[in-house]
Amino acid sequence: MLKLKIAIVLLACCIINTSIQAQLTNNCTLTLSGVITGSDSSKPLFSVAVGISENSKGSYTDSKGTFSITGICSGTYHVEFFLMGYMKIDTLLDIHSNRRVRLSLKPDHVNLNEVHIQSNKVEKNNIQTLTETSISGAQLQQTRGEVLGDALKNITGVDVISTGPTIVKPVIHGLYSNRILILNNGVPQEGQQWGTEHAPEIDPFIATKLTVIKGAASIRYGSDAIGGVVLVDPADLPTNKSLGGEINLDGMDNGRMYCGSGILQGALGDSSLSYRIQGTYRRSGNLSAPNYGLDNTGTLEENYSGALGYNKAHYGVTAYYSHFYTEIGINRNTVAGNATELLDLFNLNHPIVDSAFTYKIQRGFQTVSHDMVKASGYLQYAGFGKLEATFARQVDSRQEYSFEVPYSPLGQLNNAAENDFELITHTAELVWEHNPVGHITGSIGADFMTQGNVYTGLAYAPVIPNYRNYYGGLFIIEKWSLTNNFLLEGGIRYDYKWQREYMENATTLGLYDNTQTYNSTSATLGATYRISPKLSLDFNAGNGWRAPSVYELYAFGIHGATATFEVGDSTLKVEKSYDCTTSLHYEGEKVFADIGVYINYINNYMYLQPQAGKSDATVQTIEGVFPRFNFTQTDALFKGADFDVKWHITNHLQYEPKVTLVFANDLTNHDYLVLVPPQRFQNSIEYRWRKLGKLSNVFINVGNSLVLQQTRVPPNSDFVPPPEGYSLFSAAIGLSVFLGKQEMSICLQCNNIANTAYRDYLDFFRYYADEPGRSFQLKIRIPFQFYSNKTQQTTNN
Amino acid sequence: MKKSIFFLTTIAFIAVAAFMLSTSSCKKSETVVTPHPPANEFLTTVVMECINNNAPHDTETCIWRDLTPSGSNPPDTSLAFLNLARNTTYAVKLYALDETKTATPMLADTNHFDINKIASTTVDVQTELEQRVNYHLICFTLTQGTGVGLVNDLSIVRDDYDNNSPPLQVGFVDTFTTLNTAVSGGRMEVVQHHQPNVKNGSCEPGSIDYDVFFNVNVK
Repeated sequence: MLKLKIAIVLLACCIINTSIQAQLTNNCTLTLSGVITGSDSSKPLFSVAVGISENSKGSYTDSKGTFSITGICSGTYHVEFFLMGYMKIDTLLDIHSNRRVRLSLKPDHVNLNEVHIQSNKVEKNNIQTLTETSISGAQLQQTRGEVLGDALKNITGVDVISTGPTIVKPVIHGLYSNRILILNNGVPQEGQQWGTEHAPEIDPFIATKLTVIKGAASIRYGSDAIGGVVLVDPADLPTNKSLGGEINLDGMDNGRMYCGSGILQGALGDSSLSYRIQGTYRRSGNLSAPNYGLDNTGTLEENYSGALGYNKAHYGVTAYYSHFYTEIGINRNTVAGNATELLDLFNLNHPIVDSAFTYKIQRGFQTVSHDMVKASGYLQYAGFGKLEATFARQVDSRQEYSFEVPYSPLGQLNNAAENDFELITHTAELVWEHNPVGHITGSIGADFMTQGNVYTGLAYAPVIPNYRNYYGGLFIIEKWSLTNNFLLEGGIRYDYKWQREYMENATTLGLYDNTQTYNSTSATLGATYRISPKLSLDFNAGNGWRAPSVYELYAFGIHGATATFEVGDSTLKVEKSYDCTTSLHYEGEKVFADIGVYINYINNYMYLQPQAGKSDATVQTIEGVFPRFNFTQTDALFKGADFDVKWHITNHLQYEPKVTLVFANDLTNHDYLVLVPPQRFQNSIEYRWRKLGKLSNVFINVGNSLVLQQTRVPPNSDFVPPPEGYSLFSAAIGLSVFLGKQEMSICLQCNNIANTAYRDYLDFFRYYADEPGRSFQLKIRIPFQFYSNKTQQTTNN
Repeated sequence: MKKSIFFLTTIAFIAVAAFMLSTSSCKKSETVVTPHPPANEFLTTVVMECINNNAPHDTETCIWRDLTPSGSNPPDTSLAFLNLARNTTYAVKLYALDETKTATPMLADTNHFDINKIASTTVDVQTELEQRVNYHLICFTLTQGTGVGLVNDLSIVRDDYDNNSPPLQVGFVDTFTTLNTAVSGGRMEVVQHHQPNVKNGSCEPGSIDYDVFFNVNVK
């Protein structure tokens, strides 16, 4: 039987069956009541959502685990029981008299004996003992309207590195860019991710769940996943005959941002054929810092995607297409001609150019389009397990327009991009999840990728050379449930990569090429031990690797954002990480805690080393003198801890402290490393009413985010010391209300309430301007359902 | 089971077919290194010409040249010397050139620079800069010499104005006036600021087109 994992957001949306309602309105006095316990502890579960799909009636369990729904008409209903952290139950109940049920929910994440071969979802996380955190549902709702990087900031262990407020990249356990992998709907996102000012080309609205796997996950995802993995997962396509969707509307006063996103999805006929179309438009003008406007910080996003699926019990195929397009203004104050000017700008303490509000994006901007076509299919039979094949083609096209109009005699190049990159990537993957052999489950798979990158542009020498690469990997990951409380996991993987760069000799203008090959074996070993029904311990030791990116090999020139002259090294070797993570999960009645510590030793860690104090400390060009930074390798050690605690002080009041700590050292030079996130402490208090008159899920939330100054920086690595720490307050109120049969939710949020002027160490804007000031944001979500016919029983067995 | 083998084969076939199709249709365009457009002009050379107002044949031409704008070779500053006489007023003109397209150096005789007589393969960028006069500003910085002073011993006045309202100075045409003081080993930094829509008369806004220096001696 298919297991349906309907996302929580869609669970909230009411599904009606008008025909049943019309027929049976005569006897509508029945009551459904019962007790819900946890199968792990047999103790009653608090705040389990109980919902009847057909008439949108629902309730939550109280602290004794009991619930009661009255006013039910006689009939047969789909009843759903859901609590975060437990597997959802969706069952069919005949209610012809008052009925009392007794159910137990199985925990979701410490589900040691459960074999997931029934799942039709592409379960990308095959490393069970690695720590992962997801945001979905109401939590994801609160991040709507934000770019992907900002949405992920709510997860402990995740920071962001940015170039102003518009270009934001996620950082996991202190690692970023080519050290983390983003899986967009199951496909590794391939853009120009080597650049710190190149943000992921993904529309966060396609996702109903964002997951971060923290730690080296190369065993499953191959090269590059040495810091972690971000999974951007859309909901499964609907399987019951239906037509529905969701509209999201967001607005923000700072930058006068407005954003609309819509989803329309349904299933046809015999319910095997289903589809979804989705689109997002987002526009923002110049943002404001507390004391001045930030010139040319507008953005535009136009994204759409479509999916078509045909799913039967034993096989299914899905086709998916997505288009992402963005235009991002680059603040002209951030263009320092050379190092002297950068220091002058910094000492000025405010931008030279103040700005009036405009939506217009002026010169000094990027346009990026990313298109992806994906085809996937699966086969599953009780006899042999499940086989999945995925193929995808991505075209990433990035144009960077410099601040200046290029010089050309007749102005032919006025609209030409200074840098133009086109990267075409093909990926294919085949994974076989075999049937359990005794207590052993697992999967065996193969990955393949090839990329071609073409640079055209006005620069005298290409920023990165053209290249072609081929990459292949084979892996096996197995899990062995030794006892009910102990699971052992192990895996091994082999990867091979071939890469050739095509270049031009600047003096002779002759073409030549360089070829590298890399191969690496990775392994992982992990265990999950359930100490008690409430407490479990995960341990994972794994290694990962990464071949040097073309930029690290061949960079040669000025990096505009930081006014540094960056020089690559074509002799760089493979970087290898050896990562150990341990995490403790506690799930009590009132307290939920997730505490993780990690230590990641990276051999041959590639980084930019300042040449200050050496004979080639600076480079003189016609644009002035630039400090020189060379790519080099060292042995680095990253260690840190993530704490996330949720404490239900009362039925209404919840306190959630979060801590993200990262410490990094350069072992070879006995020094610190640059661009390591400073320590971060987040606290939030939420008061929530499940029901308040006609309103439901009414909440008030106050939060604080405290970021300390980064003091662990190597000397001479930066023009100016890291900025001071800062403390920001935010608040939100939200509620849900029925508009007819549809439950609409509204949230009003205020960030940086005190309008604090601050600068962030991981933002390249820090040299030039403060971060944006106070903003008010309004988020509205309107789910809708034209019809729904649940002919298939969607139980979770 | 037969059915499963059928579907397995189908999926594998479709995947392989799609892959072959999409990769073989790819032109492998990365093997061709695209040259930058011929119309694109780089700043490689800054020429500063100083003509003695009282003796027009007394012309000083100094040149700062960086023929590889990517930074791969150090700039040629062998001609970046400005030798002026005391108590003299000079009419100064700045020229920016692109010498990336030329195989031979543009000036055999550096003492008689004539923008109209540069090699045909040398591109005169100055004319375009002057067409975009509202975007540009030249800023001069004098630094103390190793011998006697400089900062107050040479006055620099920008003589040309742009079309902004009110007009703002540009600096392509200037007047240098020396005092009765000798200077040796002084340093003059000449920076061309690029300030589209943000020009306000000060040197701060915008980015930098060139930032070069000349060694100054006043005898």
